[in-house]
Amino acid sequence: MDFKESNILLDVAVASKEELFEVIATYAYESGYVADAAETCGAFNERESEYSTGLQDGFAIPHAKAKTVLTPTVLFIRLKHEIEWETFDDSAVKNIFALMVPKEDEGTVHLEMLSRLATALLETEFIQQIQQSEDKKQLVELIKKEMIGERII
Amino acid sequence: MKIVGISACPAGLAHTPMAAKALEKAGAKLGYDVKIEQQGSLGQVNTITDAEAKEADFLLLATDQKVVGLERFDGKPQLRVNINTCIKAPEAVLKKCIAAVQQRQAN
Repeated sequence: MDFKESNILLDVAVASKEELFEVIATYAYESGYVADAAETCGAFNERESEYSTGLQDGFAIPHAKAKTVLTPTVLFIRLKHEIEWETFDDSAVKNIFALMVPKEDEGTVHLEMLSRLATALLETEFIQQIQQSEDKKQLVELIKKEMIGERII
Repeated sequence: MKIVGISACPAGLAHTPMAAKALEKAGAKLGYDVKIEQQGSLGQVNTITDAEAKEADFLLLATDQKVVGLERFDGKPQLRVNINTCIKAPEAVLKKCIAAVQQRQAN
């Protein structure tokens, strides 16, 4: 699973969570990460209906675990305007990490990377660095560093 | 105070490790020995051994899902907490659980 500049979408204008999932699913489909956009969108909404994936400080981590996902994928999306989302601190959401994984797990390495990224969202420093960065290249570095974890060599 | 717990969420991707880490961090800060087993998409991570289960004061279930291996904790007080609450307010969760367990013991 690679995370590159094309996994980052900035200044995305949507009015709601549902609209955002459509944008994500369409982009994932066009990028070849998923087989079907509508099914992907449905998987995001289904997970969201279990309970909200809103976090705090304007972040959310929606995810889709579905057969239609072809390869484990992370997209980072920054919205042009905050949208309503049920979050821990009642903040509206501006920064989104969207995770997509196949139904059948294909190896643990990718899942470990997603797990590390999710726990990084508990770190104030990471949150602030992401919020403050406008540069795709820098965002890629920040996000990759968390996903890969500490390198021993 | 030794606390063991299990976290689990619908997809097992994000909230499971987040809750585990949040609770362990809160435990370190408050001076409690906290170990949370993750039952997510990676299977069992940071598995609680039988010995650890035996030594623990109580079991914290950070989930509304079914979890496996509960037989390890037979006879231990078990407290179930919403997983999002564990991520949002881990220190408060630990404090409340401890108070609840102490209350049970006092009765």
